[in-house]
Amino acid sequence: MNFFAVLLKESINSATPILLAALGGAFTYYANVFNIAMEGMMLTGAYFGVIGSYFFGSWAIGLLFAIISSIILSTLFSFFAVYLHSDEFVTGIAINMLALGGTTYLLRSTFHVKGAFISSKIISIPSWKIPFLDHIPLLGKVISGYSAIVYIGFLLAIIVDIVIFHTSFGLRLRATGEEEVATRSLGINPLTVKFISAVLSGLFCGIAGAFLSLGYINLFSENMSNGRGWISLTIIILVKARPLGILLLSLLFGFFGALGVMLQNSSIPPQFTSMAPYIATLFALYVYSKQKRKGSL
Amino acid sequence: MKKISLILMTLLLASSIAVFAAAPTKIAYVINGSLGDHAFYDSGYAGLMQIKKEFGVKVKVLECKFDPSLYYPSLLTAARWADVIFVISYGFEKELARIADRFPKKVFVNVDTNVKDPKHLITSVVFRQEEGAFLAGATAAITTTLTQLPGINPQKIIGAVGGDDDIVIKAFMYGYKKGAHYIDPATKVKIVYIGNWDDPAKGKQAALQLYAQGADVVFQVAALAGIGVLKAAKEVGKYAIGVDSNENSIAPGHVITSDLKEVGKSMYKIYKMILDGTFKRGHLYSFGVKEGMVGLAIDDYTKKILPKGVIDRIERLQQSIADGKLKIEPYKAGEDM
Repeated sequence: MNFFAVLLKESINSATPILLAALGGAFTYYANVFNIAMEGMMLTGAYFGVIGSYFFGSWAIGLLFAIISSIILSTLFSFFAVYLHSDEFVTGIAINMLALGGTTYLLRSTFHVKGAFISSKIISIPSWKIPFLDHIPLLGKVISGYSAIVYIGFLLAIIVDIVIFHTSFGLRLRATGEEEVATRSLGINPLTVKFISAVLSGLFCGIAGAFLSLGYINLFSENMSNGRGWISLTIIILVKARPLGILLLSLLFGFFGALGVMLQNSSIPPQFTSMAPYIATLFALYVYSKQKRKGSL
Repeated sequence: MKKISLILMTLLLASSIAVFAAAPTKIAYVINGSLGDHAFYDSGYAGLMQIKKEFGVKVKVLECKFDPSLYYPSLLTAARWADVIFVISYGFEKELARIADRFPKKVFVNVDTNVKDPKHLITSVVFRQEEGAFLAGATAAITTTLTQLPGINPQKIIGAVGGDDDIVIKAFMYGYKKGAHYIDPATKVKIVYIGNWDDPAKGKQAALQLYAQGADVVFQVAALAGIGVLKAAKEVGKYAIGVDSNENSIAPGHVITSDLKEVGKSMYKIYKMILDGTFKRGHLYSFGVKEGMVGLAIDDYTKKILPKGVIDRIERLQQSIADGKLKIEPYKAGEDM
């Protein structure tokens, strides 16, 4: 029983960074900015989270550093991709490479280590025990005791849904994405909207990065985002950036990732179990497209 | 004119050989991954630094960062520049043989796997990792019965997290199981391969699941990704065993010991053998507990966790492997575990 609680808990933990980055990417998706730089923003956030936490002895400053650094990177991205109209794809790749090389270089020049920086002085984001629920035998284990960011992530999924579909900002955002010229005629500057969307994606990716390096595991290692930003991008495209769809698919992906480890206890080869989340995603895509085709007919 | 140049060339060649015979002064270390794993590659790097400090030689490290396209050029650069080339060639044995063929005068020492080339130019160093893993397994199997320690449950379950199910890691797992079953055949050993060497979050996730399945001790054999295993042990108040380098200090009170694989020490030893002329080119050197190249790191961190009687028992076990009284069969590829 305890084991299934841990399985679910691990699903939620591994879903969280993907969920946050994808929610951030949802803003740029609706503003019609093709943003593939989530991976790099997340990695940068993870690194500066550790910097803030280590040098100031506070996870809050770590989180703040993560967010600021990631926003700076997203500003850089939008400067090129939005204002200078450089190719979004190429700019995104450049940002990701800059983040990977930059954090690796900074890791070596600041801490004089390679690979990973591990220290007891890195203060992690505290985990939250929900007062009454914590004492319920099984349920308490599953829904209580996560890093605060996990709860924030779930909350944000709902908030982002409301912001995009039920506020005037959301309307402007979607209008800019769909018909730039028309929005301009209404007195909205599409560049500003696009810029804001990029900054928001930086904000969310910064939180995702801080979750990796200060929330889930208390260290920084080179390339620790390890493709999670790309998975976010896939999820965004898959569900057309609907925040609740993102939540569902991130959880699904997290669950199959955790399940893949568990399946190894049976005689399934490990290479196959590692594929579990990807196969599950492909299957979800198949079902989703099939449904959509039915709907359109 | 042609003759003179030929003589000159011969002289030049002869003199360069003479210089080389005196003492190799340039040493390269070519690795398939990157430094900073706190384990395997870093151990080799520490050995290289010791050689540099003690003998004043020039050293160069070439990291291939698991990028196959970098391997051949790195090896080529190393072979052109250095006199002695230490190589971690796992997965790139063919490239190594090709380079050795082109530079027959250079000394190639391949560490961790046995590379056979037809001209016997490459010297190989292999570790009997089964012996160290055996000791790790024995330690884990004893620890899981010490219910007086905090966090130990009555079930006799231990676990291990491997980076990939390749032959070296499988040899580790094989030894680990043997060691556990040597102590108590009823010990259950759960093994998980995460298919990754550098994502600590994946290592942590795997370890948390093993702990949830009742394992009290988890052995990490996943380089940098395995650091997550040590972190997981700390989080849930259980125990872990490190690998390759001494990782006992990474999660104090939770890393019982580390299964050392002294890559650096072996490189140092080989270099000294080259200096005193006992080095045999093309030979296969096999290092284990007896040579002090494999074994457990038992230090103050260990003593704070395990009672003295248990440590003595583990040390006796290590001694009997060193003395040859206890023989651990090497792992054969494809053998079912």
